[in-house]
Amino acid sequence: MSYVPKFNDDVARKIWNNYFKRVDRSMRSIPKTKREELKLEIQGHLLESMEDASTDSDSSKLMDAIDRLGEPEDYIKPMIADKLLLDASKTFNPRNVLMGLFFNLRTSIRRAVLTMIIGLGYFFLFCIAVMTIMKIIIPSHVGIFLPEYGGSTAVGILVSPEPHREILGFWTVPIGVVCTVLLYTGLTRLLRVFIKQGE
Amino acid sequence: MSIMKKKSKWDSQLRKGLLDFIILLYLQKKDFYGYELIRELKRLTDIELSEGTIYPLLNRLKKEDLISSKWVEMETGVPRKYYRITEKGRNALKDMQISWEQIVIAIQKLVGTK
Repeated sequence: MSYVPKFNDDVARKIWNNYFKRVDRSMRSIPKTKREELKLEIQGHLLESMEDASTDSDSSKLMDAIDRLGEPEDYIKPMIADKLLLDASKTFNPRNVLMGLFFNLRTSIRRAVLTMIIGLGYFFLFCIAVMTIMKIIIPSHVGIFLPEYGGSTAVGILVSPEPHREILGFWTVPIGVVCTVLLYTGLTRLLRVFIKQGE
Repeated sequence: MSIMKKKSKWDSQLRKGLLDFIILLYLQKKDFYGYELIRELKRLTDIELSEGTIYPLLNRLKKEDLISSKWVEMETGVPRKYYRITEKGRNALKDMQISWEQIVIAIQKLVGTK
């Protein structure tokens, strides 16, 4: 039970197919009948939403409709979580219990990994900011150091940089400032998306 | 965060929190399909919500047996899934209405007290 509309342009068809590939991927853990029903409901929604759009081409109508409907992962996952937990608690079937546990574990692990990545990012940002300030105070001890007579490359603040040669010089400061700003903006945006997804 | 932003977030959270109640109120009048319900919700409540969020909500109400659904074939195009309030849903709605009236009276008393 599925519906494929006739579009007047190829771009719209591609957008439609890509969107429903994502819908299919998001619904893998629910039974086929339920999956087809939900897909048909979403397809009907998009087609009707397209009719309400004021633009001309099918592709812009479809993009507007998708924009209003939202990402499939965002609205399908809560339904799967609810269903798996309900099945597990209602049926006492070990398979359902395991699937429910696995789904929740996977979601928790994903959140934990993302939190760790963002946390490490902020720590790295803090290190770069400290390096940038220290470069102004003790310039010869801060930067990227190459070994003069063998050994390993060092980045950061060295107490005795003697056997090494610092290669960035005062460029460490502008590069440090740019990296700090870019990282701060990027990480904070990522954090905002992360928080929004959890709401 | 500015006062306006705080207000709009509070306003949006308040309206979203009432969605179950509003949906049941609509379904009490007649059967609706998903997109039709969203159109009505947007018109009445002015909620900034991603349209997809209605489906997990309807799904949950259905699991709680407060609403049921039925596919209806259309003359043209995709069949529509209509949602209908159940007897259990009507009873839950009565309880919700009582709670709502109690909250409104209590808040009005507080707002009136200076």
